[in-house]
Amino acid sequence: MPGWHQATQKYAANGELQVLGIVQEQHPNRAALFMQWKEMDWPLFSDPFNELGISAVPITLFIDEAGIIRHKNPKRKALAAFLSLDSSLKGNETAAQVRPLKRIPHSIPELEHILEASPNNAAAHFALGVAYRQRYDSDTPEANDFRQAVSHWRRALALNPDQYIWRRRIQQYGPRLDKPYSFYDWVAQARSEIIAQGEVPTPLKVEPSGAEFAKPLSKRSRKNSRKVLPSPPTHPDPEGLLTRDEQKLVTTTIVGVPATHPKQSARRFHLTLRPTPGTSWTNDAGPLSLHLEPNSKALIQDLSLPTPPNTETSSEERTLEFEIHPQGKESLPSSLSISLFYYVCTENDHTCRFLRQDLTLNLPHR
Amino acid sequence: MKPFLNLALIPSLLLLLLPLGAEDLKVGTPFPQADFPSVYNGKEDNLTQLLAGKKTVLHLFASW
Repeated sequence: MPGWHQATQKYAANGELQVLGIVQEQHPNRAALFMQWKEMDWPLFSDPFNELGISAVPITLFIDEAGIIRHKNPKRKALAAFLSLDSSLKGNETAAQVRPLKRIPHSIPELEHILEASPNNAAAHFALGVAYRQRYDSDTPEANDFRQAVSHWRRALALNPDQYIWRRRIQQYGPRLDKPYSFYDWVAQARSEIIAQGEVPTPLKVEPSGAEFAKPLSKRSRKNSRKVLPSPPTHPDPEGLLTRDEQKLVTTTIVGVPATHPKQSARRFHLTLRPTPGTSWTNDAGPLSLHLEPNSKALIQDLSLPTPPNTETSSEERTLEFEIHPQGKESLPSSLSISLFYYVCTENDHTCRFLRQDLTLNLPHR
Repeated sequence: MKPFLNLALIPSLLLLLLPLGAEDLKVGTPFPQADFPSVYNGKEDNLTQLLAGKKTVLHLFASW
C-alpha cells in the first residue's frame, strides 16, 4: 500500500485522480493508525462485515469517472495509461448502470432471523460472528459473545473454506501454528515512530492483545520443541488439598479458538476472570497461575498472564491467553482439566484466601 | 455416440464451482453502490457519489 501511495501521491495532489480505501478488519480503527504511521491521508472506509464479498486482500481497483472498474490488481506502471483513458460513459449512463450492493444486516437479531430461515447462509454466519465480537468489544458485552463469534466464523468457513477474509478472522484469535503472520506486531513500532515525529498516535478503540500480536509458530520450531519438552511449572497443589473457590468469588468465561487447518490440533484459549462484587485480587500476596493436571498428556504454551496494577488490591477483569498443544506425537484428549490459583480478599468478612478453581477445557475432535 | 459432456453446459458448471459469497468486482462492471462508514469519524458516505466524475484508485486491504 505505501508503494501505491507513493505512485499516486502527485496525481492525487494535482486532482487527476482520487485514492480511496476500504478496510476489511474487525477493528477498522486500527487501520487509521496504520494510515497515520505510513503518512497516507486518503479517505478510508470500513467493511468489517465483508459486504463486498471479497475473499482476500489486498485488491487494488482502477475505477473510471463513470464508476466502471477498469483494472483489477494492475501493476503500478499501468497507472499512466489509466490516467490518459478517456471514459466513453457519461454521468446519465452511469446512473442506469448502478448496481446496488446486496446489504447484510449488522444486528444480531436480524442475522439470527436470517439463519433461522437459511441455516447454511455462510455470509450471514460470518456477519453474525462480526456482530457478536463487536458487542463483546463494546461497553455492554454478554458472557458468550466471543464464543458465539468464533462459533459462527467457524461455521462460515466450513461452508466456504476458500474465503480467506473469514479464515483470517479466526486466525487473528487462534493458535500460533495456524497464523500466516503476526497480525498487529506493527502497532508498537507505529506508535513509537509517530511519537518520534511529534504527533499523537491515533487512539485504538480496542487494543490488540495476545493472539493478535503472537508470531506464527513454524513447523520447524514446533518439531524442535518436541525434541526437548519443556518441564511444566511446579503444580502448587498436586494432591488437590487447596480450598476450591466453590462460592465462585471469581467467575470465568473461557473461549477456545481452534486452528483453521484440520490437521492442527492446537487450540488457543481466551480466559476471562471477573471478581464478583465485594471480592478483590490481593496483588501483594502473589500472582495468579494456571496449571494442567500433573502428568497431563498436553502442554500449555504461550501463556500470557495479565500484569496486575501496582496496588495492594484491585478488582479489574483479567484476561489470560494460552495454547494447548499435544505432548510429542500424542493426540489431545476430548477434554482437559486445568486449575487456576489466585489470591483474593472478600470485603464482607475481611478474609484473604489462596483459592483453586478447576475448569474443563473442551477439545472436541473435528 | 453422444459426447460425455454437453459443452454448452460448461459455463453453468463453472459457475457452480464458484464459492458462495464470491465477490462481484469484475472489470468492465460498475463498482457496487453502497454506503460505508468512514474509519475516521464513522460518517457514512455513498461510494457511487464519491466515484462519480473522478478517476479513482481504490484499495481494499487490511492493516494486518
